[in-house]
Amino acid sequence: MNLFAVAGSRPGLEPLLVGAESKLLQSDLAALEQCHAGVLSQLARRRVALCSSDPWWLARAMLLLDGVCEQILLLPPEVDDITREAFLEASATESVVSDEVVDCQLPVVRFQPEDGSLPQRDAITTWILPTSGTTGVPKLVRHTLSSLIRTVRRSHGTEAATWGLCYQLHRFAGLQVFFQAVCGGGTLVVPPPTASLAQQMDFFRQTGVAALSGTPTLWRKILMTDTAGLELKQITLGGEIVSQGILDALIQRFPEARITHIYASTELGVGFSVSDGRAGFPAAWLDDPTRGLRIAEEDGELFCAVPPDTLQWQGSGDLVEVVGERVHFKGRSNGSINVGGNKVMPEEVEEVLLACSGVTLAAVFPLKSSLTGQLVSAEVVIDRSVVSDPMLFRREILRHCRERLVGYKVPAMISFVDDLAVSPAGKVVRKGDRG
Amino acid sequence: MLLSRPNCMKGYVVENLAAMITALFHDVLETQGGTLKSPLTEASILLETGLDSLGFAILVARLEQELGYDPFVLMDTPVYPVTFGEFVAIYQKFSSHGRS
Repeated sequence: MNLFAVAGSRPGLEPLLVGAESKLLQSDLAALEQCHAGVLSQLARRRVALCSSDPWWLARAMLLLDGVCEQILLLPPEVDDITREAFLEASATESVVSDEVVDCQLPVVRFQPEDGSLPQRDAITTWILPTSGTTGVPKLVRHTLSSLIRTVRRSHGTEAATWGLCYQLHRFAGLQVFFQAVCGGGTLVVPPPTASLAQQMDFFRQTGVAALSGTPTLWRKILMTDTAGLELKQITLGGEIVSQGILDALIQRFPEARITHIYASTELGVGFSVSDGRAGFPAAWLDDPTRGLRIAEEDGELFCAVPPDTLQWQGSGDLVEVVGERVHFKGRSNGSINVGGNKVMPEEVEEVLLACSGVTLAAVFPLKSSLTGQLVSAEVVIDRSVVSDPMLFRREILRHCRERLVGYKVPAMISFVDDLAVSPAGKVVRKGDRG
Repeated sequence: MLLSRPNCMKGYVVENLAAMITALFHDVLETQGGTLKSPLTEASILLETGLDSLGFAILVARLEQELGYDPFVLMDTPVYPVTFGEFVAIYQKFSSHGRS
């Protein structure tokens, strides 16, 4: 099984990919493969790295190279030189394949039309994805196509889902959307890489996107745009803690949508998905051996058996808490702020800040203190159309926090910013983040 | 021979500094939901003013944001003020580290 074969054998006539300038139909695949025969035979059975900031190029390269290459490393274009060389060496990559200039020591192959005879497409390609890991040190994770598409739902019948791509395609979350569209019988809509969020939403509206996947932070930004005309039937969230607040806001804005939040990571693959409209997951799953979920007693870290039916337990780096018949996520175990010996999870304070009406985005991080070691500090984006006096609003935010949080958790400093720094994976960056 | 510039462009002069610290003290006290126990004077004992130790840590952080320095980081031997007057004096002592 390979991507090319799966993409070529789907039922229905919906395009595979829709970009700003062209579409890729199933019927185009054979011709696309044939016209790249030369470079495909050059790369057959080799260990390659794909590197591009153009998702349109990357999508087609992945379709054509799966099953031909022994190994494909998805190299993020924005990594620094040292990390790039480390990834290339650790993966024993032989060639870098790109549509751009890549500054590295290996030969760079331009993936372009070239005559030749088609190689066999019978390799079980190893897919390698970099991740920042739980300690912040970048590392490589190996997958196969089977492990990557384990949770793809096949669409039945003629209704194929049109998915918009909001994530970077070379990252795990973006790949999940790509595979869902390609292998699940749907369409992937790829906006131009330089499009702003508002432009992306316009493009999705024009192309009839009905399914979108993003981080809660991205969804909060989407909610700040005019979403009229965007008729979503499927909303997927992942990558950060999904609070009841964001779920409720999405249910209200998109009443027709099925809302799913996914617990997944590049290392663990997809852990599980929840579609009952509630944050966290059912505590009953901890008793279900087929789920492979367990909580460490010492500190409440969630452990996952990878794959679910084996005995290989891996720490997720995420802290959880059982409240009644629900398990809630508290935050990254290495992300706590220490205020005079008292531990504060930034995610808990962020959730309280976000519940304050007028606050649209929030990031909480440690501030160094000569007296207590650290203090809680917050950067907040406010809705200027409802907040007339920011200085007065700051007092209101603090009063709101004091009603819900013990003293040392209330932010010592709140700065108003125009936007939050977001990582390439779409997650809020907290200053002092280690991963 | 060039004369050095007067130091009044850098840091604050005593009266301004005391007034500024007092204003920020009241601001932090209010945002912490505290109440002033008795009028603030030079002799007021810091931890009896209504602001607790966390509150003082926050005040010091806010002052660093305003002034550009934290005297508790700059001092060689730790000297912890007991009265409000001593607190202000420490800020004056290190005021040359302030931003211009």
